[in-house]
Amino acid sequence: MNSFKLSNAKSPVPSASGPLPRRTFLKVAAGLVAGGILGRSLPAFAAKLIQLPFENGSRELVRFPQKGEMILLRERPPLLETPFEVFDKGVFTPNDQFFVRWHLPQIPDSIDVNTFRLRVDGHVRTPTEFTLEEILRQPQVELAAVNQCSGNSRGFSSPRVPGGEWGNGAMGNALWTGVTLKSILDRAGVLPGAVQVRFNGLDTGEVPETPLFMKSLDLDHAMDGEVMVAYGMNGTQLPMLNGFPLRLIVPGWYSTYWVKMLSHIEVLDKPDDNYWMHTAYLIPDTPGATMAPDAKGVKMVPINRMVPRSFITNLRDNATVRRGAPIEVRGIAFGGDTGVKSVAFSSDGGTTWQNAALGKDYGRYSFRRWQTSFVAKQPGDYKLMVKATNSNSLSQPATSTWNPGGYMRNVIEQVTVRAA
Amino acid sequence: MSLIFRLVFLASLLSLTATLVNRVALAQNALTASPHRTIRLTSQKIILPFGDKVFAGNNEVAKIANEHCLLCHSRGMIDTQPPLTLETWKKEIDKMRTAYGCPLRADQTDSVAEFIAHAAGSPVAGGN
Repeated sequence: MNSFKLSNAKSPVPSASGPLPRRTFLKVAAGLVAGGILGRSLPAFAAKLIQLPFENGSRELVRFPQKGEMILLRERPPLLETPFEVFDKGVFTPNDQFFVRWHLPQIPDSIDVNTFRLRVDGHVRTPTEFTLEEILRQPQVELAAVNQCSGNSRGFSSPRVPGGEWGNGAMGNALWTGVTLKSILDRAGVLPGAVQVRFNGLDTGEVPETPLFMKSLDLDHAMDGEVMVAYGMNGTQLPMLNGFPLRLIVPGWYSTYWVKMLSHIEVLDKPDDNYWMHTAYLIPDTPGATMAPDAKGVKMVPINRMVPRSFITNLRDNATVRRGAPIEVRGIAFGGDTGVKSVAFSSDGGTTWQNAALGKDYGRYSFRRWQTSFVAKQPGDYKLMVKATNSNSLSQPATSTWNPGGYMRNVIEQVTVRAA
Repeated sequence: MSLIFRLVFLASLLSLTATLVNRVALAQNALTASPHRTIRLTSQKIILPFGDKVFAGNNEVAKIANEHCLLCHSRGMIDTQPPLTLETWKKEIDKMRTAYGCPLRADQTDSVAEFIAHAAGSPVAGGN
């Protein structure tokens, strides 16, 4: 259960496979001319396959630098999903199996802690560059928070939508250590007239036309004392692929705002209209962010707060259970943008519900463990369901929502087990 | 004080100084947070896999797909897509061109979409 035992402090050992080309265009072209194949497959890529439970869900299990075994969606820019059994092991997700999602292909392959700078400028009194040492010297804060991709579980969308075809493992929970964003902004001095704060990391596109991955928060949100610039994740520095050395932590909000390798904070005096705020990551402005697949002219807004979810982690679909004796069922839940009020469990497909016992509370933005049991009296199939309700009394819906981005899935999950 | 004692003392002093210098050097490369939780930041270097799988074929459209689609992302992005209609593939490729700066010509979109739809490793959804 304790994150500090799980957290991984591997030394930065480069992959044994030798250097691989980073500048793609000419090299891809050259490779094609030279015979069509670049031929540098990694030894670690010896295909170990798993099947996510949707069409075209076959995936390789791979190991990337500083990471343990992960489900591969895409090598470049990396999309790596947490194997679901990891969530049964504890309330915190180990750093080396925490999901990875990058948008742009040019990710720095090295960071020097002595030369790295976080720049704060824009609509401020004193544009400021912070060294890591200066950030480490500021008052430290800690917060447990779930980091979940906006499109977590996109592969279950019906009808299917294009994108990163995740199962349920594009999420994780960590204890984040760092400084409040407010303290950083106060040092630079936000000027009157500021409305938003924009964040950018060190990753860039392959061509200059690719929009830099920048996300913005309203000034009030940025200054709320909870939004954090983190240098610690489960008690140690972040893996490179999770945003070393600094990552923005936006508790209760989807991961798209949690900018990795955070290097530039810009205070804006007008709302951000950059591509990643204005065009990408939009949801229907409807309750539950749902719409009909053929609906036209729906008002869209930037994705924002998370919604409650819960999962059974110790029983898989089609598992066989013993009849007549209590069967332990356990899992994780989170409230989204607030804490978990209750977790209800059903062993009869949602006809009757009982409240599960909740585990230790690590704060309202954290995963919360839950546990209960049931007895399968008769042989046959049992449809197990779990439903979280958050402190704002928002519960998971009984039917799936849909939107064209495949965002914010949080339908009640179910697992069917067979009593023999 | 005997000469030997003084030499030993001097050697100890030198050794201590060397240790201290060493500590300072280490501290410069490992930044530490204080006070209540110690988190050390050390410089990092990794080598990321590139994802070398390309589209087979010597025809012009395979070449275009390899040079343009795989410029910014590896084939995994394409191969893991669900069955999509040709219309959806065209929209996706057009988004790559107009939003992400893929150096593809507009008049190449249709042929690349057809090629990708069939190479994607998932059946093309019906209707288009």
